[in-house]
Amino acid sequence: MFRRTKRSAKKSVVPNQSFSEKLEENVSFFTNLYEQSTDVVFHSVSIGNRQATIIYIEGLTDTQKLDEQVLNILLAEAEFNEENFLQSVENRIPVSNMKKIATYVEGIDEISNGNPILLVDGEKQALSFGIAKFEMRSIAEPEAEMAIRGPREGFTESIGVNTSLLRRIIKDPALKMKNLQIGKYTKTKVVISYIDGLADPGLIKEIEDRLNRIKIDGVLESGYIEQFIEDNPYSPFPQMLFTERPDVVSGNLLEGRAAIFIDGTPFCLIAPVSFFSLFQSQEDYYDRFWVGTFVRSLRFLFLGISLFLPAIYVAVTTFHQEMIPTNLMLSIASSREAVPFPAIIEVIIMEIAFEALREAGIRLPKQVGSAVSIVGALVIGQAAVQAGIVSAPMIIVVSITGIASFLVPRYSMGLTVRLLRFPIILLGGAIGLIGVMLAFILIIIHLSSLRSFGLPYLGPISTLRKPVFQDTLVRSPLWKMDYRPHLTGKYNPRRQKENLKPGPKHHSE
Amino acid sequence: MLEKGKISTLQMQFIIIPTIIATGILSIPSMAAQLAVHDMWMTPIAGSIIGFITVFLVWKLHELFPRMTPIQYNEKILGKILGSMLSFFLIFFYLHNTGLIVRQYTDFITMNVLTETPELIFSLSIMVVSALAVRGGIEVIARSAVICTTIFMLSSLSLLLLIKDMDVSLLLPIMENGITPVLKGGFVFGAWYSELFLLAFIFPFLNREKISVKPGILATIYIMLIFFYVNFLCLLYLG
Repeated sequence: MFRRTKRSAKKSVVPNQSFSEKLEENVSFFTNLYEQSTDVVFHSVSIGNRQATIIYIEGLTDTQKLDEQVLNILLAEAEFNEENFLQSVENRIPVSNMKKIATYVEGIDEISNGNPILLVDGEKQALSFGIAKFEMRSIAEPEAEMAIRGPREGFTESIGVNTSLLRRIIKDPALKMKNLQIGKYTKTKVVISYIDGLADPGLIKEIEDRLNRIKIDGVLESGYIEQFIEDNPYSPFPQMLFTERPDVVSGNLLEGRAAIFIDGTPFCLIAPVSFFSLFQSQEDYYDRFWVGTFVRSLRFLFLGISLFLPAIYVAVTTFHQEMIPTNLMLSIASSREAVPFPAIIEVIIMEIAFEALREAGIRLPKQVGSAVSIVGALVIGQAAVQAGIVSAPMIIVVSITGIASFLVPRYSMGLTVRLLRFPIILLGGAIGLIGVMLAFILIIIHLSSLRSFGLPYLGPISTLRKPVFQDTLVRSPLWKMDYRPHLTGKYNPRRQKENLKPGPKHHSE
Repeated sequence: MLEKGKISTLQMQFIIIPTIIATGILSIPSMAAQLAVHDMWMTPIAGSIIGFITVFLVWKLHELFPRMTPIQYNEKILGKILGSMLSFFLIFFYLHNTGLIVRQYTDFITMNVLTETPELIFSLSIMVVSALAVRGGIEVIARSAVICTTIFMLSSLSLLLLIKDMDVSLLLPIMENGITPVLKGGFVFGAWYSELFLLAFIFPFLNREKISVKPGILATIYIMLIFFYVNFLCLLYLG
């Protein structure tokens, strides 16, 4: 009962009706609405012989511009055309982005976005001035995605800046930006960006539909959006890519993918992605292709290590001692002699301690964080072995595993790998290498059944769709990547002129 | 639950190849060696004739009844009663066959690797994993087959690391007792090559309208080559 009354009281529906002609009514509507909001400023002026009110929110509006370009003109010039009052005001005021609005809803939107609105007595319309301005972080190098070679710009929290960064890279008018608003209270601006002609229209429609389905209170970060629009919400694998680098976004748009910008976060979502695109880093393309290929194969190797090495160690030392060469077996056995725990307990203790250390290091301020990691490394690395709690080979395994999971260029994928390691260790400890193998097959089956916006997750390798190896396990030379990856639906294959291989003989032409 | 997935012919080959060779390479070499002795390396080639005939039959049947599984066209060919009986027979044959394969896998592990673990654990775990793949549909099976088969094939290349122990003289004398032992040994392969009949169940789910006999024949050739590789190395390494 109580709950019901509360809900109905909260339902203060904003009427979708037009302004009234009387200034009093309009102003009282807004004063009621913004009751107990001291940051909303109501400023009454008289223009000629008419009463008017300007409403804006402090801190969201450039008050200097408001004073100089709006109020100055309004107060100085006494003669506005009485017949067509608003039009004549609009003509005189030196602000480029002005809008006539007719309803309360529009008025609230404009005010919340920082555009002051001018209500004039006797007019059924109001004017809004596009002079919003708020404090924001300047463009800086993205901290989560460092690069040695490549642009040093990163997105900021302001969506306008982000889209402009993209527009500065892709200048063709085919770059489209679609606007949406999500969040009942935050009213967050969300922009779907794609290149017309490269992206499949069906994909854009699907993204739009999924975004429109979201009805939540607020969107605080791209993760909110991601979790509402992914294909398989129970999967541990990320089905979208997030980045704060404009060059990464541009590269993906040029391959026919779509980007989703969210106001208030420097992270931009990219969809659809495949398993292999989570292992691509922008620098693969900026460096020589040999390096790119080498680094990429290193990543896949270490993905395997980071997922399976602890489990294999447990399985082999517990069940399959005969697989280890005798010398190694002896050294492992002698170091394990004093250890009171079975291998699986040892691994789990160490892995959990390592994860805890890592988590502590991330959340703490930098100065304290380094202290934690030094103490942790000393305690784990040195003391635990000397005390005979864990064996030395185990330390090696755990630390290699830890380093290996940092090799994944996309953070979300790294998290997945960290998470999946534990069930695999348990399986390996239960039924040995058979368990590890079963875990591998299970992961492959799961990945095969995943889709990201219709794109098979393990494609193009598992679907054998051409070009298969161009940009997956290896990074082929740029002049050989004549075709875009085939995503879903309509496909625009050619990305460059064929036969672009450079060489001295081309210069004579 | 009707299957709606579509796979490519290449994926079909990736499905059918491991189906046949997985149990084949474990048990055939010893059987073939008993019959054909040092000519066993030729047996897969002799046996592949059965494979080619099966593929051709399956393909012809699919030409006659496009987009249909054997269960569907059985009734068309033999009539309602006889057709359903044959379908039942087919279904139970494959159920039985699957049981046998699971048993082989379990025995292989309990005899060679983990001797003290209860057999049930291995049978159950592999069946759960397979069931999950089946639940995903033919596309999931195809995709995971591509990846698992590739890894399996690559790992089988490690047999070549023993190349220094190869004794080519073990091949001699070739066809000491005429061609009969080779044909007998090849007959052992019949049981495995005839599993190519499973193609009939995959053909309706290919993503192209017109299916030529070529991919099926190619799959048979690949299988033959893999069997040949295994038998040849078995003979040369172990004698």
